[in-house]
Amino acid sequence: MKLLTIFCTAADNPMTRVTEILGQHGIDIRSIDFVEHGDEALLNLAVSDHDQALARLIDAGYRVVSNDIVLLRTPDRPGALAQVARRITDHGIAIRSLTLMQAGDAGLVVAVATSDNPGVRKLFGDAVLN
Amino acid sequence: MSGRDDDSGGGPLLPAADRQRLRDFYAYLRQQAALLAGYPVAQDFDYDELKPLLDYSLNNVGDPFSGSTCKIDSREFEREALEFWARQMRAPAGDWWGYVTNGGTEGNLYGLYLARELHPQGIVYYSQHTHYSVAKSLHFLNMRNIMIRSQPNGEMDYADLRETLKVNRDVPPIIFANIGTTMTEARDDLGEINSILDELAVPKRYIHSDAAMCGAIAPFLDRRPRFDFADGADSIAISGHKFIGSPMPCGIVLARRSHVNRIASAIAYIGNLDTTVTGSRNGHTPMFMWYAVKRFGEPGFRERVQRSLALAERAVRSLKAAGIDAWRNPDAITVVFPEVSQALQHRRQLATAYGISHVIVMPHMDEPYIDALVAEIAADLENRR
Ligand SMILES: Cc1ncc(COP(=O)(O)O)c(C=O)c1O
Repeated sequence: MKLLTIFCTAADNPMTRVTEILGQHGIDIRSIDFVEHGDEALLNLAVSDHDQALARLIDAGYRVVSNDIVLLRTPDRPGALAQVARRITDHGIAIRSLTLMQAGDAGLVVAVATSDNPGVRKLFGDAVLN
Repeated sequence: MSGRDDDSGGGPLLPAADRQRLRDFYAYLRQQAALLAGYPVAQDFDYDELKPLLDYSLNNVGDPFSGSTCKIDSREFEREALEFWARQMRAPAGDWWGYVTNGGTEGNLYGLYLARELHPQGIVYYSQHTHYSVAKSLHFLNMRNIMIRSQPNGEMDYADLRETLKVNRDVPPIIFANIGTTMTEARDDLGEINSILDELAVPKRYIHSDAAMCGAIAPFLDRRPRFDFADGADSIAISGHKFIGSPMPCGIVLARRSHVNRIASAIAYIGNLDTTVTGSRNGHTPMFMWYAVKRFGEPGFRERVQRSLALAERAVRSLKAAGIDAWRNPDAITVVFPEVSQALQHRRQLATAYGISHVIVMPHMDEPYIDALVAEIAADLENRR
């Protein structure tokens, strides 16, 4: 099943807004899981209509990724992206894209798409956010 | 093509209500254009002499350097405009090619496309402050890509580039360099990039310069940045509707001809030698590009750059004098300061991101304009304290 992860600011009351947006478009929520890290919030969702939900939430200005992308948290310091990249490629996994989502107090959040996402999830364990 | 020389007989073509609507629209545009301060849109153009061309549907379909059976085109003028910019970009004599695009975005798409055809396994490296349209193009082209951190001024973090390149040493790097980032007009230095690639002994590489912002500025600076063909670029995209000035979006893309020839022969297999991105191409925008080149020439562009830089410096000084933490990158016409209120962002069309807003000083502005703008910004930020 495809999951969605929303990455947002905790102060914006995302839980309420997101459920409202999905409700307005007749999208059912199958499961929802909400985590706050300081100023940031992370919402993991399973919904009845993945593509529609992705489109509506992006329209509403959210940064949303689907779980064919792996979201990782790493410490925020120079060379951190390279370290993530090295760890992945050293395991024979090819990177398709690697993007910085956010740099903040809680560290860097990096979105990666690779030739072996389950492998990456295993590799990074607790640092995987979605 | 009506070729309406005979406006003697015909009455107006639209009902009165629609004509009124157009008049209101003109008035609205006049007002908004005068307020616009946050996007790089030169407004000192005057294309009156080209207005009769609007009676014709000019279409430059295909390669500007090859013949066409379509005679209602402006390819001859397009080639002259391209020659001027190829010279400014120090393109190798006899080994360059290009065309007038629909904007910087198409030029970047074209550069990335060439890179992908030459290095199908390549990975694109681009910095965090790269224009958002580049992510779309990477997606269209299904290219592997890695984002590199930016330094606080918006320039690529070269240490991060070096570290990241080391990880994928065996894969040809395609460097997407910003020659003027959207928010802070930071320029990635091709000299620095090439020395990293040399140091890592990377044999195959491709460098595209996204000079959407600074392509029409950088060649005229006294301290010329390292960004062009002589500095190692393989392709360069410039926006036409930014510093050059055009009533509709357009741009210029230039590339090494040897690269283009390689993809042209690949395309020949599908029975089509058209190496441009679109089918029909706008034949009016090349006329604006040609006119600007003829009107300003090198001295004219240099003068517009100098004037804008002096005004940008004036804006920074006045904002600082008002206690505002304003700054600009060296030789930049973009003046950066802390985020202003939404009301002012809206009123003055001030792009805002990463907690900063900016004003981009353009050649149609003058000292009273800048002083009034600075006063508005200072008052706004004073209220926010
Ligand atoms: C750095 C940069 N690249 C690309 C673009 C896109 O150019 P265009 O709007 O001409 O398509 C812009 C425009 O804002 C830009 O600032």
